[in-house]
Order: sequence, then structure tokens, then C-alpha cells
Amino acid sequence: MPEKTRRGAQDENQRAGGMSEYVEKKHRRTLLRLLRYFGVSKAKTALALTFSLLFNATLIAQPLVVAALIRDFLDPGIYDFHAITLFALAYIGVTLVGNGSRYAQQITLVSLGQQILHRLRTDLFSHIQTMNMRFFDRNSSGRILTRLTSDVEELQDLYANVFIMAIREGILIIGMIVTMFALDPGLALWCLLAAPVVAGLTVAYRFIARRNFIELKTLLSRINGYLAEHVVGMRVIQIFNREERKYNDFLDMNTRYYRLGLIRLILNSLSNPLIVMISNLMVAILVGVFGERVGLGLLDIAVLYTFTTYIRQLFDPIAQLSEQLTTAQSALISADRIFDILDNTEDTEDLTRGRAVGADSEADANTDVDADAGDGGSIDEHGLAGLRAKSADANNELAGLRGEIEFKNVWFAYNGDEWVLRDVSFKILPGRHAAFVGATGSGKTTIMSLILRYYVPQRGRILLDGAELGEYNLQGLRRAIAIVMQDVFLFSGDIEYNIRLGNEGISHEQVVAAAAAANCDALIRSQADGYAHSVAERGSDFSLGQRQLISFARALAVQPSVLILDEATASVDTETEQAIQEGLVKYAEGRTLVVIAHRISTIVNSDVIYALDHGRIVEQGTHESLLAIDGGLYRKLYLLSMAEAAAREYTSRGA
Amino acid sequence: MSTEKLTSTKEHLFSYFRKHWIRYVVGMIFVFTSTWSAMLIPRLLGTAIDLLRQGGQMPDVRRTAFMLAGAALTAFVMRFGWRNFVLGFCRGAETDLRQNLFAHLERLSSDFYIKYNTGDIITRAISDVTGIRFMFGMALTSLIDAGIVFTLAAFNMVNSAGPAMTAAAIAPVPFLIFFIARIRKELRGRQRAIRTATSHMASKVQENLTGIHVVKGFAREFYESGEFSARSKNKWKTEMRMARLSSLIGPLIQTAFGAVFTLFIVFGSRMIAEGSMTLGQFTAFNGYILLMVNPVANIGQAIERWQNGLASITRLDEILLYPPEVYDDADAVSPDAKVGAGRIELRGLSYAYPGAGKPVLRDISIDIRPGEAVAVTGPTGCGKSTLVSLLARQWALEGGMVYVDGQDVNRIPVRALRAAMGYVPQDNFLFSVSIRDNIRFYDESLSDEDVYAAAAAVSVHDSIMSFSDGYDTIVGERGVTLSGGQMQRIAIARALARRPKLLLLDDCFSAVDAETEQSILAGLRGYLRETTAIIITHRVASAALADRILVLDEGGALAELGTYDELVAAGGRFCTLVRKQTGQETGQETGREGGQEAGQEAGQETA
Repeated sequence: MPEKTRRGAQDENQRAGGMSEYVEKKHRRTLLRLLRYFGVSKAKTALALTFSLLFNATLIAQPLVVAALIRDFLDPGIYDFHAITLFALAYIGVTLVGNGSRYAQQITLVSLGQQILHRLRTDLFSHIQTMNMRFFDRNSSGRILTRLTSDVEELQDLYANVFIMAIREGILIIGMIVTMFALDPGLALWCLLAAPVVAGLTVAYRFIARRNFIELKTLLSRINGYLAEHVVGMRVIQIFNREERKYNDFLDMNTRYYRLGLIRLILNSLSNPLIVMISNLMVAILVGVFGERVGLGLLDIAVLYTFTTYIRQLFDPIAQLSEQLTTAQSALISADRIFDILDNTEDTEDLTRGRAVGADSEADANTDVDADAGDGGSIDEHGLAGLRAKSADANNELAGLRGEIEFKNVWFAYNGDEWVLRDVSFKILPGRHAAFVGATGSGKTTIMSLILRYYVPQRGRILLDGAELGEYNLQGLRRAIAIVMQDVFLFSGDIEYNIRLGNEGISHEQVVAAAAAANCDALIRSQADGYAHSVAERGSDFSLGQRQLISFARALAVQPSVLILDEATASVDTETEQAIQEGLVKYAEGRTLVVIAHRISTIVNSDVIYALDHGRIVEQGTHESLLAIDGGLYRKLYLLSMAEAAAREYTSRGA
Repeated sequence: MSTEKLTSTKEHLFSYFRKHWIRYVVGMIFVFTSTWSAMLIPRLLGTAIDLLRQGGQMPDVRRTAFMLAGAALTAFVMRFGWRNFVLGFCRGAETDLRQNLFAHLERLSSDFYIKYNTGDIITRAISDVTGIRFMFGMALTSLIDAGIVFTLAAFNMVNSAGPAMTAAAIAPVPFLIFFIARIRKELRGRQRAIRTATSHMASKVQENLTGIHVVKGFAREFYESGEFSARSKNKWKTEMRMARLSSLIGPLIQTAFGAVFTLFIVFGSRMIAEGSMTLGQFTAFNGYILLMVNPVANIGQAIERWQNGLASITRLDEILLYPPEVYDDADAVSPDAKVGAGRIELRGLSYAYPGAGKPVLRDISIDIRPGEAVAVTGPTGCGKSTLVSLLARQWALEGGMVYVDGQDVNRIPVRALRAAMGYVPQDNFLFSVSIRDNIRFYDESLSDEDVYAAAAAVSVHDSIMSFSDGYDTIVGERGVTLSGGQMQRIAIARALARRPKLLLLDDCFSAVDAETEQSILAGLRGYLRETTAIIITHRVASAALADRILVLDEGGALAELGTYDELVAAGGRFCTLVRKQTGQETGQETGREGGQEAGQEAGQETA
């Protein structure tokens, strides 16, 4: 598995090259794996097969009824009303049974396909939820979105059409060949001579078409991505008057898509029509070559006629299948991409295992109603419920955390040896308020990410309440530690949902209290529908500062043991910030508080302040003690932020 | 870009047709020829069977077989032809429509982008445009093909089996089409339910991924999985509702034609017995019935595609007929007018967002001299951002309130105004191209040195140079992940590189620390000597660097306006703000000292 992701780029190249045996093998493996999903409902699979057999049997029987009629009764002078009526009844009977089973087969197959897709989708989504931050750093949300939407959609075609058709037509083809041999083995053999031609053409078609399909698909997803990016960034394009340039870029892409589309068109108009033509030519050959045998009395004309019907019915499914191959090919590529994610166990984080937060302080009497216990309505049948139950166990005792955070010689780099943190050590005692200051890029945010175990440091240890961070149950850990981040994210849904995040353990009153503490209760109440006000896409109807307040309330609502503010007040105005500060004093009482702030004024009252420079802690102490260090980093930062008046004088003279 | 007429989807398609109609029409002729050849086959086969049964001459039989082969070949060649002509035309029309849609998207203003979410717009630009291709491609040709098949089949049947039997064979067709149409109509609603369910699911994914930090930070992973699973299951349900009805269509057609053939078995065999019909004609009749099955079935899909296409047209029209809110008035000064010195006047500016009753800004007046820097501050939600976005004409504004160089902004061509402007919105946005291209932003007149200078002015040059690919580093998924502060500063560099006459910075240092912000702002005065600047900031230290400070109150009205000293002396809102940010007391002594330190540093960095 580990090489899997690394091999991604290489795969892409090999696919583009198209012909390699490796790809062929990989496709076969993928196909088998996709087929195994039929196991999700063996009953439905069996039922679908049964109906399919029945339906196809009637398809084969129909020409036989007509053949019997032709052989014995359709001659001038012969008219047996009873026998004819019997034939008519037989024919309509076969038709009714056939179409009844066809409907039943269709419904069962669709239901089966949908069940499989649901399974695949939820598996994939749940798996992605367990991926770690490195995965999300590496894979853009756009790319993952494509896996979950268009790639799964692609498989929908596969399960809803291709596989269904393969089963149905496959049974038909086999049944028909058997019947043909039963009727006239010699003639059947002749007819089947064309089968390799049809199969050969199909393979050749696949061979040529593959490259085109990949290109077309890649290009379409590029167009998709281009549109997404430019719709979001349209304002920038307009501000900078770059409409024409972007129009032309899009035109290039669009035109290339058109050209590739034309090639696809030519390939498609060759494949299916060619096979139809072959079946018609076969009919002509049957008549022209084997007609002589009828004259010689070696062949019954009814049998000859039946064969002309069967040939068309035989090649039709083959033609249909070849048409569907288009879908199958691109679907296999989609499937590979989906499986690549599902197989990626290297980048997952184990959310459920590990010791419960605060577990060593005995089973806590404070049974914090578990967050997820209430939203069980939508739980899926496969495993999700179990996972939740496990996580519920681990979370019941989250209130037991004391909130002591210790870094011991921590080194961390996002890539390679570009160290972001160098030998960082500190210890924040329970209930204390700590602050980190430093220039942009000095590693402040990274420290917060490490506390939440978004990343694991390369060297050194991080201890929470004296135990290794890695030993804790991840979900429990992150519930006990709330963070308000620099970049705010609001979900669609109402404001209350955004504060509660679907956590049924938080009551409406708690939501309101949290909002009040975050100083946004008034703002929310000023909306026409108050807490039920639904947030537009990513909260675009609120200013950045307002969004920040809501995300602040979100963090307060979970009553965390440790509260982290990562430049959380950067985009609210000073007065609001002041108000938050006041709320915070009350709220943070007895909780560990870790703050990163631009504005030093907001952290002067912290118990301990750490000054970071290029990933190292260079100073630590209280505001007063740090300010006393002459030429110290903290002093510089503080004075700078304090020194507006002098700075103004200086620069107005300088400018 | 002047007041232009909006062009609907149909008008776009029609204008494409006017240019390329020959391709489409010739293709349609091929459709006819192809179907006609295919329809010869049952009759030729019937002839051959009659010849064989009557013990006819093998040369005659062989000649018929050759004709059969000829018909098959012609049908193939013509089919290849029409597919390329008709469907090729449709792909062309698709490309053209998508391009026009993009062009229109480029004209639309903020109001549109707030109303429609990104996913929705993309779905329309991709799936709906493709839906229209299907509509005029396979859907329309299927319908035409069906018409030809029915006509020719009827003609041939009358010749062999007489009018009565033909009428009986054709009779179910209108009923079938009627029933199928009814079913399809119902299916449309169910199809819509599927689409809604699908986009419901997609938006959950999108949101989950964008907000993954929050999801993980609050341990909501399993809750999210549950939410997604519910939505996925809902999609499954809607698909089943669709299938239960749509699967009826095929069996319905087959049963109807099965009944027809049953009838024909009874009457046809009597006609053969009476000698009024040959066996060949009997089999040909069966052949024609079989040939009718596919077109009747295809009509179903064609109608569905047609209706989807109609729905797509409506959905596209929603975008294409959405008027750009901001456009040049017909009496805009002149297309090549330029912004001059850069004086900005607000004369009693009041503004309420479209549809919102409450004004965001109330009666704001200020005269900003060319080259002056004004800081704007005020509580969250007081309309600071609105103020600058109105200057950049992100929103339509009544005349008589905002003037640039004495001209009402509404009378200055939008392009000319924006060409003179460097506007950095609050939520900056970088494209996934190289950093160089992000800063230069396709302005060919900017040299690499201009780009570096702009980056240096916002102290991001060194960080950029530290990447292994330097300025050629791709931003985003294919390249480096930039920090918030780096992204903000690159976005500012993009605005600075063009050395704008008017600079609007909307709180765009939020992810940059105070020290860096102030040194950048201090340095900017040297970088842009003659630029009029409006700088929104929360930091009084940053505001202090401006010539004047404009303070807005909660209601969006002007609370205070003046120099830093004036405002501090006045002891009003701003003064309170200063006290709070500097830690209660003003600390004159240390303040002055520190300021000089900082100032010197700032000077060094930009020097």
C-alpha cells in the first residue's frame, strides 16, 4: 500500500500511454473487486439472476414459436384454426411472462446497484473522515470532492448499466448459442465464425479509444476545476480587468475539449454501427450461401428464418455491450482512484482507539451526554454504529481532563527537514493562561496543530496531563480541546447548527450562553429569524469578524478543558475583541487557555508568554518580566504594537 | 462593456445554427438515407424467403442477398456520416454555448455570486450545457429517425398485409407514445428529486472537506459520516422511485407489439392460407414490427433528454439572462477615459444591499485628496468593507454619491476605474498558477523586477525566494501550501505591482502580525508616492500611519474624522480604542521610544 500513492503519478503516465500490460492487469483486478461488491446483497443478486434467466428464456422461445408456426402451418391451403389459436396464445403467454420478469429483473438490479453505490460512497466518505491532516494538505478538497461525486457517479453508470447489461446480455448470448447448436450445429458453427470478428473489433475499439477517453475525462475535470476556481475568484479577475485573458484561456481549453469530443464521436460512430452492419451482412450470407441447402431439402426454411432472427438478437447485445464499454473504461479509472483512497491506510488516524481523555481520574460521574448518541437516526448498517459506540465510550469522561500541556524538545517539519519547530519545550499548568507571540511563520500555529494532534512531531514528546498525546483517543482529545482558528469556516445550516455542530449534547440554552459569551448573541438576535437564521454558502452573508464571533461561540459551547485561540480575534474590531476578552475571563476560569495573538494588548494578562522566533522559543515569562529584557524580542513586538504615535511621526516625515 | 442586451440560451444556439446550419442539415439528410436503407432489409429478406420456398433460382436468391448486403453497407456508411455531422455540430454548439456562458459569468457582479453558489454554477456550466448537446443531438435525431421508421414501416406493411392489419399494427404507437409521455412527465419530477438528492450529497462533501479543520477539531467525523450516509441513502431512495416507473416503459412497448404480432399470427396465417399473402411478406411484417420497437423505446429516452434539455435551457437562462448589476451607463464619459490625480469624494453616501431594507452606510461625506492615505476603522459590521467595495463598483450605486476626480463613478467606464485601482478584498484569493503569474496577473507591461519590487514592498519576497521554485512555485494543490499571511501579502503584491492610482486595502493584514503590517504600511508610502489610499484596519497603530482616520459607528454613519492627533485629542471613540489597544494608559514615553525602533526597522526593510 505505501507505494500506492507514490505510484499515482506514474500510473497516470502509464494510463496515458495506454497499452501497457500493467494497466490491463490492474483493470482486471479493479473489475474483480468491483464485482465483489455484489456480495452486499446476495439475495438481490440471486433474485436478479433468476429473473434474468426467465426473461432471456422467453426471448429465445419467441422465435422458436414463430419457427414452429412457419414449419407446419404457414402454407397456402393449410389452415388449422385451433392450432393457430394455440400458437397465438403461446406467443402472448411468452410475451407476458417475459416482460413481467424483465420488469422485476430491472427493479432488482437497480436496487442492487444503488445499494452497492451507497455502500461505496459511505465507505469512502467515512474513510476520508479518518484521514489525517497531511492527507488533506496533499490532496486539495477539489480533488477529493471529485472522487466522492463524479467518480462515484461514474460507477453509478457502471453498476446501473454496464454490469446489469453484462449479466443480462451475457445470459442471452449463451442461451442463444446453445439453442442455435441444438437447431443446426453446422449452421450455428458458421454463424459463430462472425463472433471472433465482432469480439476482435470490440477489443480493437477499446484499444484505440482508451487514450481518447482518458484525455477527455482529464480535460473535463480540468475544465471543472478551472470553472470552480474562476467562479470563486471572479471578483479578482474583474477588479484587475483580466476578463479577456481568462476568456481566452478558457477558450483554449474548451476548444481542445471540442476536438477530443470529435475524435470520440468518430470512434463511437464506428463501433456500434459496424457491429449492426456485420449482423446484417451475416443475414445476407446466410441467405446467399445457405439458401441452396433449402432448395436441396437439407435445411428447413423455418430454421433458416430462425437463424436470421437469432443473428440479429445475438449481435445486438454484443453491440450494446460495446457501446457500454465507453462507460466501463472511464468507470474503471474512476474505480481505481476511489480504491486508491480506500486502500490508503498510511494517512489515516485512528479516531476511536486509545485511552479516554481523563480516564485515569476514574470513571467520571459527570456523564456528559455523548454528542453522537442523539443523532442515531441516520446511522448506517455497516459498522458506523459500532464505531460511534466505541467513540462514545471514549468520550464520556472528557470532563476529566486537567489540561496540563507539556512539550519536550519537539522538532517538527511539514516537509523534509524544513524545520518549523526546533527543539521546543514548555509546560503549561492546568488552568493557566498561556500566550505565544512571534512574527508570521515563527511556528505559533504549528504548535496549536500539534496540541490537537493534527500532526505528529518528528522528534520530541508532547504530554497531556502527563501522558503521551498519542495514547489518547483522538476524538476525545479534540473534544476536550476546543480551537478557534484564524480562517473561520461556517457550514450551511442555521446559526444554532453552526455553534452546536450537530452535537445533541449541547442544549439551546448552552448555545445561547456560548453566543453571549462570544458577544454575538445580539448580532444573532438582530437577524430576522435569530438562531434559526440560515447561513449562506460559507457564511458569505456575514463579515469576517461576525463569522469569527460565531466560530468563537462554537468553541465555547463544548465547554472545553483547554481552549486554543489561534489569532481568533484578528479580524474583529478592537471593541468587540475587548468584549470577548471580558466574556473570556469568566469562561476561561479554571480552563487552560492558549492564545496566539497579533495584538499584544490582548495577552498582557497571561500567566506565561512565550516568544517564538523561527521555530524556537527565545523568551518566556510574564508580560512584566519579558518587557524588562532589553533588546528582547517580546519587548520589540510589544513596543511596536504600542508605538503608533511615534511611528506615525516618523513615517510622515520619512514619506 | 456598455449596456448590452442579454442573450438567452436559445438565441446563442440559433446564432450558432445560422453559422453552421449546412453541417446540421446535411447530417439530417444522412439520417434519412441511413434509416431508409435499413428499412429495406426486412422486405429483401422476405423476398429471399419467398424465392427459397418457391424453389427459386439460386442466382435470383444471390442477387437478393447482394442487395441485402448493399443496404446494410449503405445504412452503415450513412449512419457514420450523420453521427459525425449532426453530433459534431452539437458538440460545436456545446462548446460555443459554454464559452458564451463563461463570458457572461465574467460580466456578472457580486450580487449574482452571492445568490448562486459555486457548485450550482459549475453544474450548470458542465451538465446543463451537455444536456443541451444531447437534446439537439441524439434526442432530436431519434425523434426524426422514429418518424421515418413509422412512415416507411406503414408503407411496407400496407403493401404486404393490407391496410387493416397495418392499422392494427400502427394503432398502439400513438397510445404508447402518449403513455410514455405521461410516464416521462412523472419521471421528470422524480428526476428532479434525484438531482436535488445528488447535489445535497455533493454539498455535504464540499462543506465537509473545506471545513475539515473544524470537523476534526471538534471531533465531528462520525456525525459527518452519519449525515452523509443519510443523504446518500436518500439518493438511493430517489433512484428507486425513478426506476420503479421508468422500468415500465420497455415491457410496456414489448407487450403491446407482442399483442400486435399475436393478432397477426391469427389473421396473417389465414391470409397465407387464402393465398393473399406470401410467407416472405409474413416474415417481413414481423421484421417491420421489430424495427419499430427500438424507435418507440428511443422516443422515450429522446423525450426525456429533450425535457432535460428544456430544463437545462431554463437553468442556463437563469444565468444568461441575469443582468450584470454593474455596467457602464450609456452616457459614461468616454470609453478611454482615465482616472487622473485620484481624488475621491463621497457626498452623502448611503447604501443598502439589494433586497435588504436596512442601510449599511448612512450619509458619509469625505473628500480625500490625491495621494492622501485614509484609514477606516469601526466596529465589526459597520460597513467598512461595503464602503470600499462600492468604490471598486462591486455593487451598483445610485449616482451623485461617489466621485473620483470630480466625476461620478457611475460615469467612469468600469474598466478604466478598475485599471487605476488596486483593490485587495478581505478574503483574498490566489489562483493555482505560479506566484509570479499571481502577482503579475497577466499584465504584460510588468517586468520581473516590478513583480519582485511589489513582493518586497509587502515583505514576502524573501519567503518566496526560499521556495525551491521561487517565483515559479505553483500556488495550491500542485505546489506549496502558503500560510494565510503569505497569501494575503501576495494578494496585496498583486494589487501593488500595477502601481495603482487608488489603493483600497480591506483589512488585508489580518493574518499578518502587527509588526510586519506596520512596517509594510510604513514602506508603502515610499512605494506608492502618488497613490490615494483607503486602508481598513482594526489596529490603531496601523491607522496612525494614515494621514487621516475615518471612524464609522455601528449604524454605518460617520462618527469621527480627522488626523490621529485630532482624534486622540477629541477623546472620542478612537481615543477609547487607542487606550484599549495600548493597554489602558497611553504610555507616551515608552510608546515614542518603541515607535522609533519600529520605524527605523521599517525603513531599513523597505530601503
